[in-house]
Amino acid sequence: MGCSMNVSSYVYGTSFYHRFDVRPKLIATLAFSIIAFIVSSHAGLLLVFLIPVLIMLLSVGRKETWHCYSRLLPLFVLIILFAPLQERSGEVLFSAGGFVLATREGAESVLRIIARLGGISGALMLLLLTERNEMIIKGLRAFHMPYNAALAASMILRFIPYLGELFAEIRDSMSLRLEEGRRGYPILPSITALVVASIRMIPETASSLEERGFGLRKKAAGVALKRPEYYLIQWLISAIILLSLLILG
Amino acid sequence: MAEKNRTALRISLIAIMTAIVAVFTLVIRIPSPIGGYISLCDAAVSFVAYAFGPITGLIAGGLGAAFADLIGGYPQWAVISFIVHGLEAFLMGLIVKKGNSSVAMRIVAALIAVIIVAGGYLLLTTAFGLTVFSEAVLEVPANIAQSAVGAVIGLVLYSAVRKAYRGLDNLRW
Repeated sequence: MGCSMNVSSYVYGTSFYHRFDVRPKLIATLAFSIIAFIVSSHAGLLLVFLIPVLIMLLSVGRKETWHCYSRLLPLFVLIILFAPLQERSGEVLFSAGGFVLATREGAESVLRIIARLGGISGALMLLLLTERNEMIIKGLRAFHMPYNAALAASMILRFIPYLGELFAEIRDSMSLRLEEGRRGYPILPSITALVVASIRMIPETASSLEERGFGLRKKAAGVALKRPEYYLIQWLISAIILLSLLILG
Repeated sequence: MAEKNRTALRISLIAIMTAIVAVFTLVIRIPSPIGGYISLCDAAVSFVAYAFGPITGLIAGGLGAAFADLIGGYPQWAVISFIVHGLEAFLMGLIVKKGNSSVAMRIVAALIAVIIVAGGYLLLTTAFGLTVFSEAVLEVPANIAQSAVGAVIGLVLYSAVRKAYRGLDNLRW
């Protein structure tokens, strides 16, 4: 099928980060994203960028790491091109004909933005690359995410690939209706067909939920995830890395 | 319908509409006359707001755009997309009443969508430190074009779907 959407980012592996429990992973990712905005020293910012890169290299290899970071390169280029022009006061690093091209403050601003952007994106991608969607939902439930919200989240993650494939089928069949020699597909009829098909699913899905006992069973307060080996050590490692980063920053 | 059944229906509605917004954002792209592509995220967000009102619009529009960012490899934008597109759908849903709003109200809703998307991304990407103001300003024309095209396509899509599926208004809450 001609659907180009990559729905699940999970990459199978047995690395140390794959074996990490989803709960410390979720908390560490969230804490890392917050700390990235607190850190301001050069060493701290360098670590914000490098920690996810290193863990990603060790967990999913060079190819996947490059694939993840290559998508950020155009943004980095834009930031490098335009950020120094905004910060033109301070110590001049480059100038042309009296026009200030870059100052030390501008260069530092670029590095700060790139470190945060790369670090936070890397940390979140690392979570998605090393954890299955179902486990992320279970992890959220373990932190007492409301039952209905967790149910909706798991349904969304199932419907996105399904509707992506359905659209590819509709698009392919619609393209056959075009006159000979014309390429592409009629956009409005295709998206209308997709939306109508999706809306027809809503009452059927609601009935399926009821048939499976929705609203009848007592909702569990949380999900009992098994404690893996070295569970406390995993929390400890996460805490040490994050505290070191905070102290350095 | 009993309250229990309504809850199941609401969860199904939100899950499927969120998936629709994500699929429109990730998969469906129209080539732009000035190069590149226009994503149909705003068309889906506008459709959800027109068809199902402000609450479904807020949740499905915001979550759908955020899921698309998470899955599409731009997780750092997820929170901003949730705020911008959630607010866009919420305000559009408030302005446009159940299928019988005037043309003037629909134009007002489209203008609000354009302001929220262009202004929201400009302010929030700078405030969150994801970019600098001078670079964020460069994105404004593209965001205006995308949200304006999206609002119009969303309205056309709503009219087409309403004709094809008679029970559409019964799903609104």
